[in-house]
Parts: sequence; structure tokens; C-alpha cells
Amino acid sequence: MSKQFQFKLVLLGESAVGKSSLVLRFVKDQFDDYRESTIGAAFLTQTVTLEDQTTVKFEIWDTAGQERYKSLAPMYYRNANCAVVVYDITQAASLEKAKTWIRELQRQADPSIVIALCGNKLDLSARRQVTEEEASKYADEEGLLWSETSAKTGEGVNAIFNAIAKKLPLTAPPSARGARVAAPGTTRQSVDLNKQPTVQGSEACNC
Amino acid sequence: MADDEHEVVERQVGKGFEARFDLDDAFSDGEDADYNLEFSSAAIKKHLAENPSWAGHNDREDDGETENSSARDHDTSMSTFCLDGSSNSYSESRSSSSSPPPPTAEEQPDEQEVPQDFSDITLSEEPSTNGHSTSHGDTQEGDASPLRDTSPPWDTSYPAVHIDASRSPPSRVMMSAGAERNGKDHQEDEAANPVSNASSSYLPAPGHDIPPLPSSPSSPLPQTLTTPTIISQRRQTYSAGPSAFQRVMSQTRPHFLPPKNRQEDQKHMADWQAMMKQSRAAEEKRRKALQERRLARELKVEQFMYKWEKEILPDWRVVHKNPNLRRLWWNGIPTKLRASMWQQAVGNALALSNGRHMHIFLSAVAFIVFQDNYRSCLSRATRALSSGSFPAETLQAVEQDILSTLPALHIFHPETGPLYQDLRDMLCAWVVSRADEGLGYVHGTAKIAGMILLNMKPQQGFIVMRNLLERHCMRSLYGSVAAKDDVEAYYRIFDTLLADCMPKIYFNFKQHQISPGAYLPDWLIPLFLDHLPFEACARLWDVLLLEGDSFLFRAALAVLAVLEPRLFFPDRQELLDLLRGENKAALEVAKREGRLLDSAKYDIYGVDEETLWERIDSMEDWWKESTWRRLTQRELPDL
Repeated sequence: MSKQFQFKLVLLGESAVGKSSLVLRFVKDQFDDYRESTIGAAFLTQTVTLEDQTTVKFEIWDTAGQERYKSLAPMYYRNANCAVVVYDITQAASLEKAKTWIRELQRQADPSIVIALCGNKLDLSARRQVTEEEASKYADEEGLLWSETSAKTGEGVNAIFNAIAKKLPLTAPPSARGARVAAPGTTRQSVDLNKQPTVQGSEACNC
Repeated sequence: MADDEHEVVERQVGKGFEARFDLDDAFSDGEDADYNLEFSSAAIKKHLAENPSWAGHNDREDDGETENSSARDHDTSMSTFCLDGSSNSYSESRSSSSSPPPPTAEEQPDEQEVPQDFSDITLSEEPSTNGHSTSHGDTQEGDASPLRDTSPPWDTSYPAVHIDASRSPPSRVMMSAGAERNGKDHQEDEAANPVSNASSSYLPAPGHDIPPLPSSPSSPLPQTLTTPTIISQRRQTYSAGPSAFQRVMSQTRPHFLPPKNRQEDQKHMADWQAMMKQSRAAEEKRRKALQERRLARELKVEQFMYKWEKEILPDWRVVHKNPNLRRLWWNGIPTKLRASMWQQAVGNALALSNGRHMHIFLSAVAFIVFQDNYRSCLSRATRALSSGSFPAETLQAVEQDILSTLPALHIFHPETGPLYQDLRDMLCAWVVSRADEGLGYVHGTAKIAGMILLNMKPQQGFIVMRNLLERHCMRSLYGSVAAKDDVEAYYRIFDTLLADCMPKIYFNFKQHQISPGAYLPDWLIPLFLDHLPFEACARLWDVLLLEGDSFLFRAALAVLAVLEPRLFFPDRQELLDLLRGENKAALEVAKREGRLLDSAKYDIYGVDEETLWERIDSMEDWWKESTWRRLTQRELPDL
């Protein structure tokens, strides 16, 4: 009998780095050259089956307008088990922004959150501004998963989600996870009542 | 008869001319002197002789939408005929009578008649409409005779015109603005602006916001191709349907004012574009400045995190004693602490169990042991829903309300929103909890629940929501008819505060019978989430939960203060539209600028967080907590 787990995954990063495209490739294996920018939040799910027949269901919260809606942060981070922070390898500034998100996650989200740093637009590597060394070094320092992907060609997309699935603690009973299905009509799982917003000392500014 | 004809003419010619007609008569005495100097009929005749194409002009005007030359001919004949008839008949009567000018312009000295004549020319196209479709110059003389009897007397000096009018179409087509402007436009100007003199009438009308070009002489302008603009403009007034003229029509001047020549128009267009560019740049700059301020404030909030954690978190009530910490709270709670701070500030006066331990809950009927208030309500709601005993119209109201809950965030969208189910559950549970008190669903609750759900989990949130809505003002607004008196009392309190804080607004509202009942519940029931930007609401809520009902009123006053420049409409309906966030002009602007229209209603007025808080802060000195207490004691003695 295979085990099934469900996790909440939040997607972060500067606008136009390809967050939604990445998810679209992962969930529907599609790519749209002229995708309009996401407004508000989009919500998708996708299941990954690991080698040992464990299935991991991702609830993907594709965020947009995070800058505009700072007050939404608690909702995004609440019960998030994993986060994919995306940057654009052709835009050096987008990596800086990604670092900001990572600091924010480390401060605000559950300490056990699995964070993956993802350099998107690998198909445009001719215009690369962020070297692999630079990004992977930073990821190592921070203890993040790291990989480069191309939502356009699909390269590396499934790999990074698989890597996340593997890294997630698959030992705890699924009911202990905060994440649950939000589709109407689905049965609710019990909800973690013990989780209070964790308070960590953090005087550093987030920029 | 004459009057009748005029009426018909006026109707046919278009609205634009009616006013002119009256004005012309009304001011004819005053005008005459000016006309005499520069614009006598003799002078016009001369100009006409010099610019024979003048008459062709008329034709163009008259021929409506038709573009082919035959149609033009036909029109020509009509106008020629009319001119002829009217002028001739006028000449006759002129000699006999010399009474003061009645509305139909009976009597004026020759030279002064000119303006009248011209207006009549345009107006008199009517009688001839079909009869003279093919006729030219001479033939019209005969045709005109019946008219002659009936038409009012007009200027003798005019007949020259009809000769010119009968010129061949090409010349008419090439017709320029020059002569016509001297004639008709001048007149229009004179009519509309009786004080202006002849030369100034070439320029944009006084008071028009476009800077005039160097004044042109009173002599005809050189014939140029500016005509199409002019013609098209005038034809606009005559013809019913849309046309190709709009492409060449001046966009920098209202159609009822005389046209300007092309260079002028181009210059004004360029000016206008430059101004728009400047204004966009200024707007951009303003937005940037606000954004910077916001970022700076958020940074500050983050920087004071240690203070929050050290001094406020252990016991939030310290903010009531320490003004500095209170100030800190007013700057906004760090998002991370918001859930717990809200929870604590709202408290749990209802002593609802959050499920962490068994709790005895006193209900109206008996002692009931609840394991968890939210869950028990929810399970009752679920049972009711599955058994079909949950009132269908309530469920529909809930769904409806959810659809309009922070739609821009897409978080509560029934199909794709990750928090839709939570919100629906919470609202159903709330309906059940209120059913105990015999109260129904209130439209707007979904916004409160939504905001709470964005910050905390449903269990926690449900208790916060119930306690929050139990505060007296909210309870009254959410109450049944029984609370109507209290609600009225709150409106009176608000009115008193408004009269003191913004007497002009108060006065205008009073004059147009707009009571706080027309807008205040719309703001307060969803706690501003319908109208103000989401981020601004979050911070409002921070303070609201800390300060209680009085802050509701301060915030509402601040909203009015931000809207103040827009609140002086002298029209009740317009004011109500504006307060509903449906001001047409503002909506247009927002659409043009491509702003999202599904976000907060007052976004279209540029109500943003920083401006709003600026207003709230500026009321700091004015606001007296004691006033608030006195007012509530007076209006709500039972409280």
C-alpha cells in the first residue's frame, strides 16, 4: 500500500522570472510564450510519485503581487512545507530579489520549510548573467536545494519538484501536515491546532 | 409664420444654434457698435466678392453626409435659395419698419444686421430641402418668392451672396476657412460671447483654456486647406450619424465653439499632449514617492521587531500605558505577529472555546459543553447543509458575498481560490452561531471572515470574528431591526463629528440630504475592505482592534477627508454615485490607465494607504477621546 502525502508549496520570486510558467510546465506540461502576468494568487495541484511508490501531492500557491500585498505573507507562509524561489539566470537582479525572499522565508515561515532555489530560463543561457557557481555557492551556504530549469523546454522542471519531494520529511503521518485540499467538496483533514506563529528573534532588515 | 419657420429651421439645424439664436437677439443692441467697426455687412460683401468660394462653404455645410458632387449641388441650391430669399425679404421689410428687435430680429440698422443674417443663413436651409435639389443661382430667385412673403425681414445688403453660392462645385470644395470664418464663425463667436469684438472673435473664445495664437486680423484668412476641419466640424452639428470628419475634427475645442485653423489646432494638440505627458510623469512621481514612503515605513516596522517581541508580545496591554509602543502599534503590526496580536486585542469576551481545553460555554438557553466552538458550529452547519435544512437563500447570500470578497486576490475564488472552502465553512458556521440569537446572515460578513482567514486559521479566526462583531457598534450594524435605534444613534454621532471636522462637507451633504446611513454602513459592515486598498485595511484593522469603535469613526472621517475635493458636487445622485465608488469620470480615467477595476472601490479615486493615514494622523490633534465618550453617552445612554 503506497503512502500519500500532501504538501503546501509556495512559489516566490521577482515578477517575470517565470514562476507561473514553471508551474504550468510542471502541472500541465505546457508552455505559453506570451503568458500574462499573474494577478493575485493562482492555485494548482500536482502529484509526484517517488520510486518507492510514495505519492506526494503538491498544493502549489503561485503568488503574485507579494510586493503589493505584504499583508498576505502570513497566509502564504502559514503551513507552507516547501517553497520554490525562482530567479531568472539572465537577470542578475532577480537573484538578489530571490535572496530577499529566502531571508524572508527563513524568518517568517516554519523553520522546517524546504526551500529550493531555481534559476529559470536556462534556454536563454547565451544571455546568462548569473553563473552556476555563484548561485550554487549561495544555495550551499544557505542549505537550499538548487537547480537550473527551463520552463520553455521543460529541462530540469520535474527534477526540482522531485528533489523537493524527496527532501520533505515523509515519515510524519500526513494528518499532521497543515496543508490540505482546498477544492470544494473534499473532505477536510484534521488541522494542526498546536501550531502558533513561531517567534524568532530577527532584527535584521529584510532588504 | 416667420416664427414657425424659425422653429423648424432651428430644429433642423441642430441644437448648437438655438442658443446662439437667442443670444444673438438678446445682445444685438450691445453688439452693434462692435460690428460696425470691423464687420459691417458692406465689409462682408466685399470679402465675399474677394472670396467667391464663400458660398460654397455654405453648401458644404448643408450637404450633410453626402460626398458626391451632385448632392453638393443640390445642397448648394438650397442654401443659395435660402440666403437669397431671406435677404431679399428682409430688404423689403427693412425699409418699412424700424421697431426694436424682437426675437426674430425684426429691426436693426443695416450694418448691424450682418451677424443676424449669417445665423439665418445657416438656419434657413430648411424650407428648400427637397424642392430645389438641382437648381442653381438664378432659378432660386423664383423659388424663393413664396418664402419671401413668409420669411422675416432681413438685411438688404445681403443678396450678393447668392451669386457666389451658385458657383461651381469645385470652387466650393476648395473653399477655405477664411471667408467663412469671417462670416459665420465670427457670428457664432459674437453670439456666444457678446462682449468680444470682431477681431477677437477669430481667436478661441475668451475663457477657453487653450492659449490663443497671435491675434489674426479681421480680414479673411488666406484660403487654406484648414477648411475640411472646419467643415467637418460644422457638419457634425448638422448631420445625425457619425462620419469620417472625426478624424480631422479638432480635439482641443468643443464643437460649439468656432473652429481654429490647422496650425493652431496642431499646436494645441501638441500642447495638450505635452500636458498629458507631464501629468502622467507627475502621477508616476507621486506614486513612486508614496511607494517609497510605504517601503520606508514597512522597513521601520521590521526594524522595530525586537521592540515588539520584547515589550509588546509578553503583554500587549502595555501599549495602552506606553504612548511610544502605542505609536508603534499604530504604524502597523508586523505581519508575522498580526494573528496573535489581533487575537489578543480582540479578546474573547464571549468566552468561546478554541478547542484547546474543555470549556463551559454559557449560551442563552443552557450550559452546553463545547469542545470547540468553531467545530461545533461547523458540524451543525454541515449537518444542516447535508440534510437540506440550511436555508437556501442564506447559502446563496453567502456564495454571493464570497464572490465579492477581495476578488483581486483570487484567494477566495470558488473554483481556484485556495481559501474558498475555509471561508465558506466559516461563514456557514457563523450563520449557525447566529441562528441561536435569531439573527440572519449579513452581506459583508464574508469580507470580515476573509480578512481574518488571511491571517489565521479558521478555529482562531472564528473566535476573533465572533468577538469582533460583538463589539457594540459592529453588533448594532450587524444586528436586526432591534438594533435600528442604536444604528441611528451612531449615525447621529458620526454626523456630529463630521460637522465639527469637515463643516463644508457636512453642509453639502445636509443640503442634498445625504445622511451617514447612505455610506457609513457600506464602509463599516465590511470594515472598509470593499472600498479601501487591502494593505490600508490591514493597518486600519490593527488600530481598529486596539482602539475599538471610536477608531471606526476616525477612519471613516479620514476616508471622507481623502475624498473631500470630490465631495462638493451640487447633485445628490452624483454624490451618492461617488460614495459608492461609481463616479463615471473616475471610472473612465481608471479604465484608460488600465488600472484594475476589481480591487477596492475607492482605488479609482487614488485613495491609498499613505494618503489615508496622513489624514488620520492629521486629525490627531482634533480628535478628543472625551468628545467621543460624551457623544456616546448622549446618544447611547444605555451603553
